[in-house]
Amino acid sequence: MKTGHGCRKMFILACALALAPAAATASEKLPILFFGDVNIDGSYPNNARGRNDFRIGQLDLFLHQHLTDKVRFLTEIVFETGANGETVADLERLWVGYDVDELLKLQLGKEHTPIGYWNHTYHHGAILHQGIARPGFLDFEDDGGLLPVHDIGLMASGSKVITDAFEPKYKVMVGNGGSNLPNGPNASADSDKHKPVTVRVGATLYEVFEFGVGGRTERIDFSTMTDRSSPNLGIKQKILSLDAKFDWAGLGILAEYHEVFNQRDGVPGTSRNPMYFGQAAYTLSGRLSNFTPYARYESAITAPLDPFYALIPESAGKRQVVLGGLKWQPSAQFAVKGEVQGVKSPGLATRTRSIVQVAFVY
Amino acid sequence: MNRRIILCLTTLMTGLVSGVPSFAAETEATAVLIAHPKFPRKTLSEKEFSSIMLGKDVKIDAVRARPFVLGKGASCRQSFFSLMKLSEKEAVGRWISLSFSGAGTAPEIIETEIEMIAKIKSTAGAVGFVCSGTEIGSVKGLQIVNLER
Repeated sequence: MKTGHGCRKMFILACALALAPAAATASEKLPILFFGDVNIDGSYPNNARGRNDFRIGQLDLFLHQHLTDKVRFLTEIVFETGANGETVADLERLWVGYDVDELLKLQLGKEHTPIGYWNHTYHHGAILHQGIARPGFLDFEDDGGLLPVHDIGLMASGSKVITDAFEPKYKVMVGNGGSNLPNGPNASADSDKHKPVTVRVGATLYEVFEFGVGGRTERIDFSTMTDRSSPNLGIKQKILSLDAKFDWAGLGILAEYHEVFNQRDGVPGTSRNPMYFGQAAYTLSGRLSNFTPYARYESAITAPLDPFYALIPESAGKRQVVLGGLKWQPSAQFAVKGEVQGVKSPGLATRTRSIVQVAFVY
Repeated sequence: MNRRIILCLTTLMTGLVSGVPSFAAETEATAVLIAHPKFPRKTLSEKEFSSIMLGKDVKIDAVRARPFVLGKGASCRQSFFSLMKLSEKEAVGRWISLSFSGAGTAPEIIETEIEMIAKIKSTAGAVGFVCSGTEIGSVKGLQIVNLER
């Protein structure tokens, strides 16, 4: 998925620079949005490199426009710097949509899978969410995430306001699959013959409470793959997802639960891999209305002999994160977050991280 | 001399931090809602108005509503946000979130009232606003009604 080659990188950076003046003059019109963040990361004990550091986060170029009343497109390109200091560009989303009506909107291309609430709501915009980063198991595929957060295919979605109190909604996606494998989703063509289906149905009640129930079923057949050096095996994967969000009078609560069931062909028994998070935030009132304290607990457990997660490095075992922080957001386009995390990873001592993030969109 | 520079800088910083212009106070005008001449209604409920202006996909009597908003220079912009019952920060935040999620697109920003009236006139389903006292010509005036009373 990464395109870190010199010439291509230079070309994309040149395009970004060429687009920048247009975006600056048009920022009020919101045709092109630049999301970005910079961070100061302190860890105890120190991180793997043995020191605290300043880090640049992602720079996200985003465009979502109607071409006609019914046709629209969305593109999102993210630049990020890897551990080796090299900047790479990822095409995170690219789709063309056709809106038949509010009950049926079609999108063809690459999109975030409709798993849970977070993944298809916040994407790469750090300014949009409480907390400095996504829950660990929802990380992107090249950052060690455990769920398929992207897919390439066809998505249908819709919603209907029945009354002010009740708005049911759905999303269904059929795609190439394989997106939580280290090599990412099958972007150019499908490397196996199976097409996973991802579904989320839910509703908004009184505009303050939203819930969703969903799932995904996929068969990953490594034996038919031609573009990977893979073991000769097939895995049936099923994911069950539940999510709920409450947002009222400054209080925001968000929780998700996912359980991933993996079964290897020819081997009896299914391994279960539960992962969940719960988050609460409260925006203060009056003169302190720019401040939002927040807290989150997250947990992901992968079975030791799970046939699928054995293929993802460092994913086995139980990982827990407890974090608390304060977000200061004086405008819709700028926020500063300070956060302390306690991270417990398999086989490692509990690590404390203190992070300050400046996030923006313009 | 130094004291004068410090005073100037302090005034400037106070203005920047508080967000209140230090050198000129603008008169707040009232936003007048307008729509395409063939827009099917003269009134909208608060919910309909809010949904349209937040960029959601809204149809009024089978006509897809298209929102347009005056830019930051407009003296009635705050009055418009008051009609939405949101602060400017909240509304811009909602536009960004909605657009980013792919569920809708943010309203198009129009720089001047003359351009706004021309845009509303030429776009089927268009809904926007101008400041009170502006000649609206053949475009339709809109009112918000509170259906919950």
